[in-house]
Amino acid sequence: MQTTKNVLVEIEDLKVEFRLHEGTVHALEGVSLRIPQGRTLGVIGESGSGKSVTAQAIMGIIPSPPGKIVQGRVRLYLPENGSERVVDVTELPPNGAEIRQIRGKEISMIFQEPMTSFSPVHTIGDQIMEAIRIHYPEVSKKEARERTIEMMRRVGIPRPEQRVDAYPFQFSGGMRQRAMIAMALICHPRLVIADEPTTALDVTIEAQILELLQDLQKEFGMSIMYISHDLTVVGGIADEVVVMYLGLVMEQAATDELFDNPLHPYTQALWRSIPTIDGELERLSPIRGALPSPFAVHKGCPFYSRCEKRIPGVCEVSRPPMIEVRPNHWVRCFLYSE
Amino acid sequence: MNVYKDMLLKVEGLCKYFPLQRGFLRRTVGYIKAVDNLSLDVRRGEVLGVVGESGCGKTTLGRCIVRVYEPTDGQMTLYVDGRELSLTELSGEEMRLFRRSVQMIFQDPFASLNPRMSILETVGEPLLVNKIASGRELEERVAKVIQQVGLRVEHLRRYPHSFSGGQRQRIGIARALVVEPKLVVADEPVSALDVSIQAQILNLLKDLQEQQNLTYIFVSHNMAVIRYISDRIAVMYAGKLVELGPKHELLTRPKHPYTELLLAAVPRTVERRRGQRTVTPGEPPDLAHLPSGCVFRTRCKYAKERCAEEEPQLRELETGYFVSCHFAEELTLSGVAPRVQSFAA
Amino acid sequence: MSTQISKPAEQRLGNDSPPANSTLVDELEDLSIGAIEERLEAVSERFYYASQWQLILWRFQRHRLAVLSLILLVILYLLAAFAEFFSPYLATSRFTGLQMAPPTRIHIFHEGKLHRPFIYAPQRSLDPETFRYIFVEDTSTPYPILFFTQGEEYKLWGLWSANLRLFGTGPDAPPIMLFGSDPLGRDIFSRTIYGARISLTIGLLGVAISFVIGVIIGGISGYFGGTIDEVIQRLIDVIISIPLIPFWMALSAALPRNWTTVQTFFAITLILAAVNWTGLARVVRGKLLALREEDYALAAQVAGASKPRIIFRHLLPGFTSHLIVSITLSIPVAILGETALSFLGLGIQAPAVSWGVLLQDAQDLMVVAQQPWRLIPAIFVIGAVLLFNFVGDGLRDAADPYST
Repeated sequence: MQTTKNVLVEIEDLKVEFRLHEGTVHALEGVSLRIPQGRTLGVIGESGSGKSVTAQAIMGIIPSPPGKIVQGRVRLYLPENGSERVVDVTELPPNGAEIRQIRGKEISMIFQEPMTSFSPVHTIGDQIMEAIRIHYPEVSKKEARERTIEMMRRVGIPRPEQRVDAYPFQFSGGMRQRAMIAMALICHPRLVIADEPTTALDVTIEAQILELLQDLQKEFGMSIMYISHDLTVVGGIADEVVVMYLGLVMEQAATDELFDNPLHPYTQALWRSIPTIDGELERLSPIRGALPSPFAVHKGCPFYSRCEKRIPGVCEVSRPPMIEVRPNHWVRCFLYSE
Repeated sequence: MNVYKDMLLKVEGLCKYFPLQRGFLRRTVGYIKAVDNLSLDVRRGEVLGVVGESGCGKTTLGRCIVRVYEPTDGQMTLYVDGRELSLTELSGEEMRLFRRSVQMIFQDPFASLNPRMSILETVGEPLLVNKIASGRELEERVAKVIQQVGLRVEHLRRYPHSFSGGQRQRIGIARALVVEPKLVVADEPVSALDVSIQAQILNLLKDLQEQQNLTYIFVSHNMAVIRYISDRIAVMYAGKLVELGPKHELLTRPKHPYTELLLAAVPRTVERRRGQRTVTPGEPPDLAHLPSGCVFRTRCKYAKERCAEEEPQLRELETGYFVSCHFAEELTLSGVAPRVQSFAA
Repeated sequence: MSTQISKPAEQRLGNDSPPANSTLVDELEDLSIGAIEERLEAVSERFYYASQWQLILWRFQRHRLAVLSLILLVILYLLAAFAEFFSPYLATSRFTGLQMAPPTRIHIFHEGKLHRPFIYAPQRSLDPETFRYIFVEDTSTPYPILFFTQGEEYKLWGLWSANLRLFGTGPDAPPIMLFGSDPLGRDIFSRTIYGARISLTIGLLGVAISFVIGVIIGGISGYFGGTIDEVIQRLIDVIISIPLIPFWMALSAALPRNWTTVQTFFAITLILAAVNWTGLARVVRGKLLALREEDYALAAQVAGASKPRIIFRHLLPGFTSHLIVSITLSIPVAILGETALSFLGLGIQAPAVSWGVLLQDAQDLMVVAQQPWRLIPAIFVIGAVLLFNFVGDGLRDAADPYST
């Protein structure tokens, strides 16, 4: 079992482009990251950072066309009968049997908007148990239903015996998100990708959902990739955090390290620009400028135009490499190169 | 009259019920009490933060104040130009004065600008329709306010599609400020913006308020934003005002159990780990089927029998501090302990 | 500069201008973003100042098929408008001895030598076995095709007398009949072009009437809402549920037989519009209801704009583009309606010519087997309907320039 390195997913130098009529969007410009087994990787990013595209690449669901994986690998290390199976998602046909065996069974996803993620014409229960019916055809309908009820109880849906036959519109937003989690976990996947799962929810409900995810992780031992634009939320749930900006990983470190000791100018600026509930109440220092056009091509650091610590003649000329400034704390910035 | 010297807006017993209609003949089968018997006053030059979860009625309150919604019941009085305007019965001339005095900033910078109108037309519209300015003068005033919000005069003839979210929100702010209003209702003005842009807009709003002595009613679900911008905070729950008080007191020593719950749920940045963020089960009630007595009692860990029997009224606990809880005096609730006590600002 | 723009496109400008009071930001601003912005602005200036209609036009132009269809439609309407000029003969001119003749063949070789385009005179004879007329060409004399020639006298739009025709063979030569002739010896090509006049205008006029009715009723429905809306919507439900063809038949059967062509024409137009408006009314209502809730409509209300201003300045421009699409897509319905009615003998009556009338002439089985050229007008009907649909498709994609 030495080979697993405790890594479940390894993304290596992934480049994804979207060729639109208006031009080419370089959604990912060489992203590398690892999702450790049984732990939570938080991914922080604004719109256009590529955080959701990264998730789509892992699931093998990049819409194509217009999307296209230009280079890179997405390897899944799946333990199987004591040994390990390595699957490269980028090499699988997008709708082939193999990737469909992985989706829903090994990897599942929780979306931001639980209303649109459920079909309005089927009961919640039918939709949750669909994954069992697909991946475990030997399981009887009765047993699938029992497992569904059990999972609904586990995610905190009251009276699951009755609500298994309810329709999505009969659920509140928070309950729908719980049902969504039940659906994602019903086959006990190794990885759950949560793409802004609480953004549409109220803060008190958000706290409930986050706690639930953490409890379920303890119980089932799955890895979580938690994607959000909200640093404070990610800070509360992740073990390790990746900060993305315009298709690149800018900084990566353990959560406490990243929050207490942010190194990249973007991360630092982001920290200073958000109002907090418990920090000092001083004037916010905004990041100047706006996100560049999604069609822009960046030869150097994509944050150059907004960076307050940039080195003209260096940063815009070539792309800074990832540097391990402190143990396990990686930064993509020339400030830290020799 | 001295009492009202620094009073800008007085809201008394405001109600906004939306009828719940069912069936072919659209019979009214009940009401959604979006805002119920709400009273508060807004003082000249302050920022009143209105905070609450979705469905608590904070947006409806804002829309009633700017008279987009017709209140079901209640009184709203605006004190401007030495006059008292009763907002529910405005004459034509008073209506124009009202529109000049009260403006609004919307949440969605993409939806709130008419894509078919240039910036000049959009920002100039309040001047034009209220017959404040036209032609050359209108253009000059629009140019002035456009610069105040940090855009350039060259942008005037462009259409909204050429602007980013942050820039559009600046345009929305310019439209609200062009008539030099006294009161601005800002409904979640930064919620739809990217994290790195929010601070720009918050700072801009704060600067403009200081420069022009504006009064804001700042509606948001985000407690951290409310804390940053507000002088006083009003907490709403299920259509009711549950607590209203100066920011510092309300955040550090809340008097209503809901405020405590809300504050506990906000993610911390200093103490991030779990346990700092307290999780309370339960969800806000269905507005069409509110519980008897106190609307919050179903989620309240301090609830007693009395809470189910008797609806608590909003009362002034100390001068300027309002709570609607039967046990506000007895409870000792915990709020947010900020890292550094620098609330002076 | 580190940032290059890959393509001038529908993109936001990469710069939020600095907050009013921040000098630090101002300083840094000049270093970088200003320069980028200048370049950006130079490239996409045009785009930033473009109004809604310009954006729609640009997007429509990207739709090749739609642009081509639009051009063909314009040609079709020009043909119809100047039918007298483009057709070599009057719709009513008969050529005795040339009944049921197949399309005239155009030659360019006479006795092995290259010759300007010409025709031979057709000779009719009776097949002794089948007792059918057969036509053979008398190859002795070539009759050249003349362009911009004098032909039969006509009154353009009933106003000006003229006799200029685009092409013909001259007064003493045999007639040129590109689509053959009918049992009365009339040129089907000329008749098709004359028929286009009624068939194509009935579409436009019918839709214009349904547009007015639809916008008014849909506007009332969407603006007032509540009970009025409910009543109107149920009324529309009822109208839609009436089977179309029997309804039209009943209405047109009620038309007095002694009405003039013009009277019948307008009556038929009204009958078509009577059903057609419902779709437009639905579009108007739906859009009004949706747009009424838009933030910018609320914003206009807060700004103090009056209700008419909100409707006409803010809401209506929001869906004129969608209306145009709906109109474009309902014109072919009206054209087909006219054709169907006339085909059934209930619409336009001979001697007036429309595509439906032409097809009615050709509606027996013998025709299909022996004189297939008489079905050529059907190709025009299909073509016109398809063209309108292609244009409508292109417009639909272009109509909302703010969707992406």
